[in-house]
Amino acid sequence: MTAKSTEDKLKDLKSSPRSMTEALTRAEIQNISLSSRLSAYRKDSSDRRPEFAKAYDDLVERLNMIDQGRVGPGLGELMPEFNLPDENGRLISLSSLLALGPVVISINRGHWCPYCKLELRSLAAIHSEIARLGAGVISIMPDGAQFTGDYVAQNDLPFPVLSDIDLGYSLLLGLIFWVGPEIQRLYKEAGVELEKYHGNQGYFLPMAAKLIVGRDGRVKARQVNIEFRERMEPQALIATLRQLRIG
Amino acid sequence: MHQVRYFLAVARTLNFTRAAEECHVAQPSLTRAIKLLEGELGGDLFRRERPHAMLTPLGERMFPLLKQCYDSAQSARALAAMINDGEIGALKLAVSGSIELGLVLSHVNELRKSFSEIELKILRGTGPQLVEYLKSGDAELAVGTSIGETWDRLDSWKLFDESFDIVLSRSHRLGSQETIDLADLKLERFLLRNHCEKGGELAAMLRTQGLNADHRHEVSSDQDLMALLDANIGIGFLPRTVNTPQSLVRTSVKGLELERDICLYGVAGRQRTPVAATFVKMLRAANWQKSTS
Repeated sequence: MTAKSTEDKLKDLKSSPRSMTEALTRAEIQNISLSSRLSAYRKDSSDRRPEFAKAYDDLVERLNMIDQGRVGPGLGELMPEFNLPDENGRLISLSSLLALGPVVISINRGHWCPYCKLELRSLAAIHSEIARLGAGVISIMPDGAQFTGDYVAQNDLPFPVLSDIDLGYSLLLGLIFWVGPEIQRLYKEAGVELEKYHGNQGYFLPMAAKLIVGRDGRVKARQVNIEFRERMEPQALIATLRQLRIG
Repeated sequence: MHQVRYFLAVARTLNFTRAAEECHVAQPSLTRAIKLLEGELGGDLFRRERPHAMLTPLGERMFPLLKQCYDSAQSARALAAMINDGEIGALKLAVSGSIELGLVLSHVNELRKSFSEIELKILRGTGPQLVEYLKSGDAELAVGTSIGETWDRLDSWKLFDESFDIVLSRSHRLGSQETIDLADLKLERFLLRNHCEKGGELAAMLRTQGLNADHRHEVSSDQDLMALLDANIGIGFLPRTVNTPQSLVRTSVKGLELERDICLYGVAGRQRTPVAATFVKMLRAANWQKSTS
């Protein structure tokens, strides 16, 4: 197969995407910030599935009634301990990670969520830089290892993905919400089988969040994205870790 | 987190005043928290008919789900406290005699890395015995198959399903045959596992297929089953995850298909120790497809 000319690629980019995979790839081809990639995907997605965009907008509006600044562990608070299995069945605790250095905790919605995928891939891309700063990365999502195992492999994630079964840890952080009947219906239609991924019939999801925990176990930086189509920019995360190193 | 706690208290007492007392909180703060939760969930959870409260359909739906999340969060919190205290835990686990212990050992070993002082208590038994162990508290968790219906206080989680193979000695007259069909088995005597929850179903299936289920051998452990098969006595049925030595042949026969669900059981409403709660999460999160293939 011959490589596509730049002109062809540009032509491809101008036509509208046919699938989620294509939209994701298109979002990633463009070598730009995570937020631009997320919004590029968001636009493609809402062109393809306007009913999803509408349901998501309604959900975010509903959740925005909550005082955003107060959701999740606050700055300077002690991050609660966890001990959760990763994609290979190994138990990983927060304290064991903190013994090695600060930890970037990414609370993610699931292996099926395109926004989380873009975000985790961008975290993977800066992982070596994070490691150089002496810190570790972990993603926590409600899906079982049957789903996270392939996910880690397919996306070349250089960090573990932990399973928060029944969302116990996410609830402890105050970060869960119910998707509601409309999105439940849309997910069923789109083949997003939360019941299977979660091993329960709850249809709860965690709010997407980033928490940077210092070696003292306290939250040094945080971003809770009630609007889950937006995420913390990797560069902001690096900046915080640099600060931690100096401080 | 406290919103969910308040919700569960109101759902249990169906009375805002009593719930506030139970939670040691002023009633206005409890009401405010419930309002917040209703905002998050997108609908009313209670119909207020002072002094009583009734669950709305949304509330009814949310109750078991939030209870499950809340229990899970409670155990996450208890775990943190236990690690700080350096308290020793015990894992009291009952495993059906029809299931190889090896199935859960890698998880037990992983648990031991986190809880090095953990004491193990492994109980073996038949389906009904597992239920008795759970009832009496001798076991906190059980791994078995098809016992979920026998006691309404069981929490049960399906881990995976698997099929049964026909197993016979290499020196059996059918042992070197490429394929075996039902007609080949007419004259055979079968070995039935009394310790298997699927024993009755298997015997019924043999009868339906016109095979001899009454003139049979019986064993009550897989160790004995293998010893008999090894001595070329009878033909047995074993689930995929029960390993057999090289001297035995495993095969399948069209018309004799049997499956079982391997499930994890606990007692609903009984406070689980952090060790057991962690073990439940591990087994439920595990990639069984990968580890049993």
